[in-house]
Amino acid sequence: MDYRPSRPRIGRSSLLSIAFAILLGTGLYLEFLADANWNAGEVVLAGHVVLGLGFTVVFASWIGGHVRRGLRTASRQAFRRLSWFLLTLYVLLVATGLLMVLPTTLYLVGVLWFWRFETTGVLTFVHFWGALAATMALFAHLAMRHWRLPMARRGHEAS
Amino acid sequence: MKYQVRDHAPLLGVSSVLCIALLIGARLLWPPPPEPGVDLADIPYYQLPFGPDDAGLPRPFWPSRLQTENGRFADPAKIQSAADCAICHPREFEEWAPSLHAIAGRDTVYERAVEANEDLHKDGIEKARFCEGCHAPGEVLAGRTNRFKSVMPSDAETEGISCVMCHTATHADPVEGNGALTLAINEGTDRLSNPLLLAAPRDHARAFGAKETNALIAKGDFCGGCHTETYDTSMSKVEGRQHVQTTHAEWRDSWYAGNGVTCQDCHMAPDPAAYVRQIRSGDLAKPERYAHNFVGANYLMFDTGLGSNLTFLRGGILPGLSDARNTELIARQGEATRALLRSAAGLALRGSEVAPGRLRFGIAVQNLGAGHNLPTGVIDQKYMWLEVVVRDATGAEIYHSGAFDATRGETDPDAVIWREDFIDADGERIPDHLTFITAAISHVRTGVPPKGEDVVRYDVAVTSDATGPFRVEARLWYRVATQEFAYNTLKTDLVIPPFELTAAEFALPATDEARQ
Repeated sequence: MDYRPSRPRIGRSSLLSIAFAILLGTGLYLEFLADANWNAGEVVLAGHVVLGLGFTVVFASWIGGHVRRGLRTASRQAFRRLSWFLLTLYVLLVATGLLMVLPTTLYLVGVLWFWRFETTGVLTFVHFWGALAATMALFAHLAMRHWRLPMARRGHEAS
Repeated sequence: MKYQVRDHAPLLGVSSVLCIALLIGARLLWPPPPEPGVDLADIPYYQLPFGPDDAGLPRPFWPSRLQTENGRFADPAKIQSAADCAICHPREFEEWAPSLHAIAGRDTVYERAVEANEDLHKDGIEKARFCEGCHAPGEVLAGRTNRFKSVMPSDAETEGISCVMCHTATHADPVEGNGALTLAINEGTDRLSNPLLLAAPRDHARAFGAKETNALIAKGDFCGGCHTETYDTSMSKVEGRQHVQTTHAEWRDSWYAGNGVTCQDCHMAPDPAAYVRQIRSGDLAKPERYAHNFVGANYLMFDTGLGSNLTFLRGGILPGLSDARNTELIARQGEATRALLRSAAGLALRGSEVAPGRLRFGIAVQNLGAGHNLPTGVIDQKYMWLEVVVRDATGAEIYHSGAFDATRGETDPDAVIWREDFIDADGERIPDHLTFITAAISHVRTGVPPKGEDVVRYDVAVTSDATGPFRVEARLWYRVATQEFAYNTLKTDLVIPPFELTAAEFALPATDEARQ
């Protein structure tokens, strides 16, 4: 059984995939390699933040419709659970990312406020591991069959 | 295969490759900065009159034991100013700004003393690295403590012991002292702009909050890097090594160190006097937070009653502060300083006897609250003395020791006094802190150790017309500088006022409880 839009196109989901891959790559760079050279790291960080904000906007505009469509077509319980888990991870990623750039945003509008360092540490930890988990969950989400097999075939597979 | 995989997998793959290309491009376009700091060879006319160390390496900061982590001089333009730190840490800045640490390198008392010493020797300015290593480490590390000033000044260098002087420390040697600190000051710079620093403060923590640094600066041993001071031939005429300041050792060997009470616990408590009272009551709980006031014993530098003289003594106003705010902060810290001083000492009557024609008694000067000797530090200028007045039944004064002449600013020369004396090569006392000609150190009376007491015996002649009961009035005074110093070095007729640490009155004959 195949389920896809009537015509292939580069839609918001494609943009999100591209952005996610770049965000993951830059995030890994920031976590493991930026310390050695913050000259480049600062550029990467700025790009990561801007792209992350863009991702958030596109994701927020797209996810509602995707969930509604998905709920209609995804009949397999395991797929639904995985999808809700993935959505939770994305929300966590976006939320921790936004919380981390909140002090920056406030600074740019003239308000000085920042998290305790320990709080930033927790946010970074959740953001990092959330991203790794979301990567795996995304691949599973893309690859996993979301429709139930017909009864006959299920019975055939079971025998 | 699901079409989603077929559609998205190439996108993810291409994006990953694109991302890697971007990252490589970023590293190529924005290469790492060169090794931070300045090489010795790049500081013109820098003088090294003390020669190399035992390994043949140059000792650019000697006689101070101060060092940088990477062995290079600090670039004055890169030393983070406390005023910059204040942008995000205003509370800590306003705690630190009135402190003696903030004005350690600029207060006039210190500056004049250094100048007086520098004039004593052809290498005087280079010898003054000994003083500046602790008082103005930014000056020393930038290479400005040199007869030829070939390095530009910066705000950070006028800030004495500023934020980065502690928050980049990687090593301290409290036994060696004389500024025996290693600072990663060249690495201690933010590599991100402020907005991005707020999003990713990890690099800020690397620069100023490394785990090792945080652990080090929480220990009393860190303070010992500067609060242990010895003289040797590099900066004085002392043969061998002579201890001048033993504050760290006094603490290390005390009940306080044994019970985990550190320098920081008392001097960085939000209310140091209250914390000392807490410790005295037996509650050893740590302060709820560590403030950056470093409240100490120098009441003079917080005496707002001195008016413009105070601004003169403090060497002006720090960058980042207005005059009004400066005065407000100083006044607040003055209250804390005076309260701390009053929490330190006590007086008690010991072994009294009323004999025909004589009164014999002892006054115990007790160190009740200080985790080091009382007084401590370099006490050739700072000193403590006991004033004792005995009155008969009519209130007439029959004995007086330790009077202070408030007009001439002189203490009774026969007073019982706790002070160390700098002695020159001719055996004469040096009254005005001339380290570079000091040949020996002697103590008139050594400081009272923590939780210890020093009993001073008096034997007073009583005339036949004086009748008891007698009253003994005892006052323990502290003064931060001698009047000779004010006249000779500060060139001022300002009388340095003393501070009353504690006072007590006793009756003679004493009650049974007091007669021990």
